Amino acid sequence: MDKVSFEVVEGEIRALIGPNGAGKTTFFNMLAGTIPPTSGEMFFRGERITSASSTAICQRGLVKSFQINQLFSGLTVWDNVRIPAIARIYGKFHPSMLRDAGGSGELNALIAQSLAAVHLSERAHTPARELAYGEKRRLEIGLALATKPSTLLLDEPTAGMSPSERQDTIRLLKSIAAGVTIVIVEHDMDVVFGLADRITVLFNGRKIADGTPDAIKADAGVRAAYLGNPVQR
Amino acid sequence: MIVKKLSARGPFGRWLPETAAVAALLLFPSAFALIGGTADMADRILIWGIFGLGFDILFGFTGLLSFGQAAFFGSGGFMTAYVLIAGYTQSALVALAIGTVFAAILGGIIGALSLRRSGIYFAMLTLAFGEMFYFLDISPLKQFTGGENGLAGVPPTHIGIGSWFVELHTPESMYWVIAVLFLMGFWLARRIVNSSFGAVLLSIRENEERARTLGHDIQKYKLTAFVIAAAYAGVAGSLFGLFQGYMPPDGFYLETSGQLVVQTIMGGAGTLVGPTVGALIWIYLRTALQQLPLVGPVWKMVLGIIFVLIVTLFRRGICGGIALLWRRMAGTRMASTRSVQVMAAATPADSAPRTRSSLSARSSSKRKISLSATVA
Amino acid sequence: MNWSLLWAQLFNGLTLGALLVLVAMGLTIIFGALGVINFAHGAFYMIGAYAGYVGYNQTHSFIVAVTAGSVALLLVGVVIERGLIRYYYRRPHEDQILVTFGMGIVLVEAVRAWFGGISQRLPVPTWGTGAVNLGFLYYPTYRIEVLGIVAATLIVLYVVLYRTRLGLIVRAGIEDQLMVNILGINVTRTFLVVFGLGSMAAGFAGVINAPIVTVVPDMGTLVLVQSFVVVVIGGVGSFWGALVGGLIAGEIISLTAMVQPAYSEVMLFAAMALVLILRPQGLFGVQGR
Repeated sequence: MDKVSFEVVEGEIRALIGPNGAGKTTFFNMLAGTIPPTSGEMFFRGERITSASSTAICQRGLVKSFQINQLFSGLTVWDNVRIPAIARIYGKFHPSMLRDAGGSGELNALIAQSLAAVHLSERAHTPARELAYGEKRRLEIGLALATKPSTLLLDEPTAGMSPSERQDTIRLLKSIAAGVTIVIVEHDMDVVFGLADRITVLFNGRKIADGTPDAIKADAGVRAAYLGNPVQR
Repeated sequence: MIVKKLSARGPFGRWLPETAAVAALLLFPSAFALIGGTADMADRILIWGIFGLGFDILFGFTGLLSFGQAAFFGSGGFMTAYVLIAGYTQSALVALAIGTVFAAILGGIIGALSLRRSGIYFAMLTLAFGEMFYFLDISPLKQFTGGENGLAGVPPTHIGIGSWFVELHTPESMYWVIAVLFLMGFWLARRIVNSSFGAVLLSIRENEERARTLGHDIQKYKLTAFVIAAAYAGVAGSLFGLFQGYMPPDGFYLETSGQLVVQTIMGGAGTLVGPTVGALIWIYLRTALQQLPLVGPVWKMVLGIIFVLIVTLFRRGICGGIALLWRRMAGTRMASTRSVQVMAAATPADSAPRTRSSLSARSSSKRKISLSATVA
Repeated sequence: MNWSLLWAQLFNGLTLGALLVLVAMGLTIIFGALGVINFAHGAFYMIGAYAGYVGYNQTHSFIVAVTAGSVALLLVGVVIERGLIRYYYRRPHEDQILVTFGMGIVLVEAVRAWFGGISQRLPVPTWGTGAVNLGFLYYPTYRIEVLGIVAATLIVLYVVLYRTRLGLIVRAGIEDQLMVNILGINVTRTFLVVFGLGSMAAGFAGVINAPIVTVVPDMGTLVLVQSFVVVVIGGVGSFWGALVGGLIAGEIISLTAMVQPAYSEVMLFAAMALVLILRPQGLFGVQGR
């Protein structure tokens, strides 16, 4: 990455696009605390997060969902979402072993809510490994949602989806976007232009454009970076 | 709006496992005698079972494979034996508590060191630290532990206060004490794995990195699981010394740690009772095989081959396989009723769809920055 | 200051260290390239000693004994890799540990059943008897020769690892296993060779060390544990890590025995704990592995 400067307003939906190898996932990993940046600073809601652990960053309200599903495959959908919900309600370490075998009301409500938000309520007791791919992608987002983030980083949430699934996902993301800042890495331009308030374009590890969707569409540099045809299906 | 979360452990109710355990423990002596088992063997099986309850929490539920649990088994056992022989207390239960706490503290130290690495390294480190304890036992600490000879002369198990007490001299009478402690340990272990804490342990086993990025301090969870396993090992080791009236250096052998692992896999990891079933198989077969003419001297090789076969073909072990069958049979029937409850309970998320206009109206006024970065 | 004792212990440390270097080298190369930690490695070492013993009894030739020990392990390694280990490459690490651990038990018990539990003797070869006058020390000839043999073996190993195509593949596999797969190199054959060579190293160490120690079925347990410690101290998949780690380990055990014999084994583990605290990846290890 080469001196990328990036600012997201609260409540915004920002899309991060760029050809393969542009550094989008690397950038996300830096933001989420998975890998440290070589240099520079990062701030979340005014607080410095540059060298914070991914656990701490998540507890502050910045959470990432993964391009390749990172689920708890042996657990049911309900038990999957229970994990981030526990962290949200009880904090990063909760050694209470003797109470709440059934889960508290607050915990269960958060889980149910998150499942409903990603339309997986009917599948609550299915083991995650038995879900269809689209459902897994939704669970992936659901896990991030259950941490009740103020900012959500979504790494290619529609990867591998059919066009109709993509449309569903766009609707889903719009419905969860109230009160949440979203930064989304995407290749599919329908998704990008259908959702984003602003778009940032990365190329070869540098930021080459930053603006409203219309401005980006008109930007010659962006077009050149994509070699003329940014649309990938 | 209330969500009724059905117990995920079975369709009949939350107390079935405990009830079944009580029934099994009551019936076991007579049933076991029918196939030639002795009280001595029964006591050993339950002691290994207690050892395995803690180990299963560590390995079966959290996914941490430790080859050094003998360190805590031996430490607890020797501390308990020493305290009784030296006369610091007469009460077996007090001595057992001391031994357990000692084992747990050691678990905290060794765990903190071993958990600095994960996966394969963790297994290697626990093996190495386990051996370290063996060497400490044999040589430098000989005066406390009796070295190669162990500590003989552990007084008969004395339970009671003041003038109301019992002294247990036989394996038959010891059985009931061990069984009660097993039951307590089982109840406790069930609560642990069914709690939120237990849920996070499972998540560490399934996808450690994701658990971390979802906001959990997984190092603390792992260390706690390690200490729990060490405590259970301490209880088991203490009972071992009490039961034999003698605490041998075997407690620290690598073979002890290995036997625990083998029994847990054979019986089924992640089931809590798997290790007990595995102990039953191992201890019973050990006696039975040694009496067969050809097989006798190679009983351990036979058990080793069975172990390799189970790891390769039947990884879930006996109880794990049974649990899987149970879930498959019960699963489809329950899914539909459960899903209705979940749906009825969920509050619909705020569903006002975003429009661009609302943002552009806002963005002209005060801007609050969520995320800013200048990185390379 | 008892100089002759000190020198003797320093040399003992070298001999012990040399042995550990060989064993750890096999372990770490298998681990680094295949990602499999062989919990039966100690059993392999033991089989080498027994195979050498059998070879010696048939021919009274030490050379035959050494060849027997090495070849036996090459065969054992190949058979086990093809017959068992290769089904485990995609399985979780824990399963690999469990199956090699079980394999170790079976091998030890099989040897015990065949040979019995009493110790066997593989005598020092005729060209190794007696002691050598080093000036400052009289030292058993055979142990000096063992140092020489191990040094020669390590040079050969170094050449193979750093100057041949096979070695390049192995080192590349240690660096980045996925990449090697993608590049289409015949991974199957490479894995087989690596496992075979690594096992052979253990067997070779077992047979050349046999004259110095007692040959019993359980002789490999302590060596296994100590080679784990060496790998932790030295760092995984590293030639220099195994070399330096092994020598350090040997010296720690030996020098502590001079000062406080009761603690000689324990001190090695204390050193391991220290490395864990200060530099978890090992002296030559790469962070994060």
